[in-house]
Amino acid sequence: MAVLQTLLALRFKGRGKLGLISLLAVSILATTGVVAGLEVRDGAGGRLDDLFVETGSPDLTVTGGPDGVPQALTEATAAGLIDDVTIYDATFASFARPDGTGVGMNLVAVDDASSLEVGRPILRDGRWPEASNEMVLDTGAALEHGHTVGSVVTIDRNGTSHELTVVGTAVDLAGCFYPTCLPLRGYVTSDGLTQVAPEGVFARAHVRLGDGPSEEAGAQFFQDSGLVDAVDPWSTNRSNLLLPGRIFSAFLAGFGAFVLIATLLVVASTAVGSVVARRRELGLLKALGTTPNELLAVTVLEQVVVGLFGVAIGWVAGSLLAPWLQLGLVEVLGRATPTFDIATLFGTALVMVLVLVVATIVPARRAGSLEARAALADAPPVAAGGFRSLVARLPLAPPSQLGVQLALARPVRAVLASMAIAVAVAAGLAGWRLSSAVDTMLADPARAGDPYDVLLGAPPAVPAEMIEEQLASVDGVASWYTEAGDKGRIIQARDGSEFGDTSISRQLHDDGAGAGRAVAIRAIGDRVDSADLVVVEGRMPETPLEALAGWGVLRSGDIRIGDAVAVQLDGTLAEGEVDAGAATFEVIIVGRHGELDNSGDVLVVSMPTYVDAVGDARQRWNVSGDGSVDRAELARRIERSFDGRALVQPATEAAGQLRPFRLVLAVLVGLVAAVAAANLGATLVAGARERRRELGVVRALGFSPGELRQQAASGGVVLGLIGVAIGIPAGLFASTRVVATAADQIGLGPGLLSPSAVAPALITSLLGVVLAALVAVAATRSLRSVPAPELVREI
Amino acid sequence: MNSPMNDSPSNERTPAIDARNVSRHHGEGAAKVDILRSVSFTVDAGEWVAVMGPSGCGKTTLLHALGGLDHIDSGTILLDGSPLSEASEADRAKRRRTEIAYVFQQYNLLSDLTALDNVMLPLRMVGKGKRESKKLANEMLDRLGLAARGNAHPATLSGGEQQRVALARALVVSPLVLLADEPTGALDSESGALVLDLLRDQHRNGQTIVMVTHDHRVAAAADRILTMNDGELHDEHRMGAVHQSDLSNLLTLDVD
Repeated sequence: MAVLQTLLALRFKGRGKLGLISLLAVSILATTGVVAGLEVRDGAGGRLDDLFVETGSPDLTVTGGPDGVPQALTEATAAGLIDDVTIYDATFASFARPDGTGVGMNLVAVDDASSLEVGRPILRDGRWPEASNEMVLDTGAALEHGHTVGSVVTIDRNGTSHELTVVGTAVDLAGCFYPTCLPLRGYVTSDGLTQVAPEGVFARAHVRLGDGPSEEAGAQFFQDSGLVDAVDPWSTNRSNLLLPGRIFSAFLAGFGAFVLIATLLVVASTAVGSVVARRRELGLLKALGTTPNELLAVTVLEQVVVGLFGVAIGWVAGSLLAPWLQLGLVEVLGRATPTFDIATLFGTALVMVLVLVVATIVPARRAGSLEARAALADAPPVAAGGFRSLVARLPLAPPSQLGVQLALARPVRAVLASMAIAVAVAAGLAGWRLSSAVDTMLADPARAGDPYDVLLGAPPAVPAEMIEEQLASVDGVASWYTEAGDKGRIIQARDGSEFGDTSISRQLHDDGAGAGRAVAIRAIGDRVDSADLVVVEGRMPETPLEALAGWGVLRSGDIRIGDAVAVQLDGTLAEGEVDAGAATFEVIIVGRHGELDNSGDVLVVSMPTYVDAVGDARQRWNVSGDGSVDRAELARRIERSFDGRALVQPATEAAGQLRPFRLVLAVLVGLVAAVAAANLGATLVAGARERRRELGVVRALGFSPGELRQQAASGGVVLGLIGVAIGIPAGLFASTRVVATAADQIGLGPGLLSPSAVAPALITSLLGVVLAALVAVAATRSLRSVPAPELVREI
Repeated sequence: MNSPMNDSPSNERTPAIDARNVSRHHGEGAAKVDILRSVSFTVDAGEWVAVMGPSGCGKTTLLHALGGLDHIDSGTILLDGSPLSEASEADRAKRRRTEIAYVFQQYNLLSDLTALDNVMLPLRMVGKGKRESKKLANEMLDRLGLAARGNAHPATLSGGEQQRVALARALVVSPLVLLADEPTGALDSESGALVLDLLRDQHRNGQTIVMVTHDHRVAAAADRILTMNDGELHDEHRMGAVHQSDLSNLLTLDVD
């Protein structure tokens, strides 16, 4: 061991700083990505579970009329389902955003927060309301619109405005947060609630189930009671809350894995360069009695020691970073405490050691088997001659030709040296394409299932004809369609109804929340094609009995395009809408459309089919502008035309949740490119060191500084081209896989995110080659001033 | 005895090399070390001058300065009457292509190029076409007895062969001055003798040579021997005035 320690100390002294720094940087980056990804995934879920317990374990949130909910609770208590419950009075109102548009709000009465046993909101700032003109605002909304304690906000209810002072902000874990989910929440006193909604309220209850019944059984009991409008189980809510973080953590972990692979390639490359550049030193160590195994061990250990330093730093960085990256949670709940999980440290260290050993073992064996006599004589191994005759035919000036010839003289080493640029090119290309995929979604909301600009919730008892007449008179309105939303379950699917008369019923996979498959129902206009939804597979429905499905419905494969499906509605509607009862209807799925809501678990049917099933539907109007004004202005114009009696709000972009990814993506790609450039520099500096004598020789032969740069740049271009040849296919493959996986995870499915390949590939290639040439020139430049002593180096 | 050149017979022809008060040092202040101290001498066209002296006396630094590979701190170096030391790096590089050629103790061939490619390189750099360069390089290799080794890589050649390739590379552009740094130092006696014979041949054809060597037998081939010590020119011996039998004793005293 003492021998190894001595050797290791000697070897570190001879190693270039840039090589050490780049290995350290790559190790840190890879570990940071992996640790942050794992911590975001595990930490966010654990944190939510802790908060769930802290807020009284609200297993179910039940909403309904002021009489129905208490009665249902009484029956559930009698059935032994309930451990504890808290009931709130609530109403539906419109919260005025700073731009003048409204957004749906559940206004909840809280008189004594300390008495709320189950599902109590978490007060983030200020205090609970004490006067009728005070309100605690949803933290998400406060952050989004810049409201703080002391702000005055406006609430509209049936055309009447109420000004309330914000005295605090709070987070309600019984629903996912604004703006990802609507409606947002506000908390007032009972008096305040009465002032806003004197005509009546609905009831909202948070239920903690007893030890016996499962969440599914509890939800089913309330749904079957017919006494409530909606039942939202915690598991669904938890899943919604974790979705952005889950996607992001998968991305981070994938990024870490990518950097690990990059590390493997780059370390292999620099290790080879290091062994080659230090042949004389290795020969000397062998001459002094070092055994081949000791040289092998010390070469591997040299990488591992540096790599482990990187792991330690990356573990701390990843742990510190993770709380910031819990997307969707950190904004409203604040940052969690870093966990510094020791198991993660050891696991990551083990993986990194494996990667480094695998990357170094071949050059290490080469170091061990080096022939001391040849190494001490500084006689280089015979070059393979690589492509000599081909290079000789190239119409290049002598410096360029020499640069190309020397770069290709040892093809294997050239490929290894170009790995750093391949990594940078692959990362750049993948990042560009991913970013471009997000842009595609943002540019066309129809791809996410939102082909409209403004939502209009018309006042009750106003005939549809009048509403549409009014809409037609608004300047800037181009078109509209009506929509109603519901929840239900696909309880049966039959094969190929569209393409034959087979009628084989299939047992659907249980999604864990009851029989059949839970889906959101979107009932649209007279015909489905009145909305400009983007059909990816199959075709647009042509009759009221035909429907579209999102990828979430089709993903598992037990429901397919062409199937006839039987849908049973939950008998629960969104709050404030009509009760549809437990109706059923049957439609044929004829196509798949782009849909981001509800993770793509959405069935789009025609309004006549839906109304036939439920008897009535409270519709909203989805309005598209002609592009002459922006969404906010269009919403204001529509709101004015209805004298403020209608709930009007600009559409929130479902794809907007992808925005944070783009920024983080750009940062991560930038980091990878920087590390790759550093690695390229390390590789080329090692190569330049190896060629110090050659640089001296060509100077002695009369190469000017400019020609030396030309020679170096030509060699760099060759390495860059090899790197591009490896990096472009790798980047295309990686980005295609990542886009496909992300599209699958978020429920969009294949075919909607098809980022262009040609322009990114061309530009990334060009940048990669230029980067390689510049770094090669810089690497040679550092040695240019001292070639003379190299010419007389004696044995 | 700082300036033997001042005592040398005048010559109406422009000297191939005219070094005047050339000084070079490393470091500054207390760490300053003088490598060359006001060195002056001339080398006539067609003359063969050997420079001898103990290790570290500044021989190689002088050789590099003469070829413009290293800068000097003061003084002037004229090559064929034209100043080299004041020229820019780019101009010095251009003059190295046509007027100066180097041969090193360690051969310094480009290991990834074949022998033929190594010899072709200076020709390509002065603008010769590929075909012409190849023809001239092959002729030069043939003259030095290496016609069959053109496609060999340096690592597969013996030391003597490598030095002959290096000599071919140096001579192929017919330089004004050949600067040779211990050209036989790494060779066995047989290969060394062969290389020395080649240098004699070149000298007979009018080639100007400045050669650094430790070997008095090699130095004896020169027309004139300059000895250096501590960065200064210490002595000068014209071979016509020195009996070969006295050379060994004379140089042993000077060198050691």
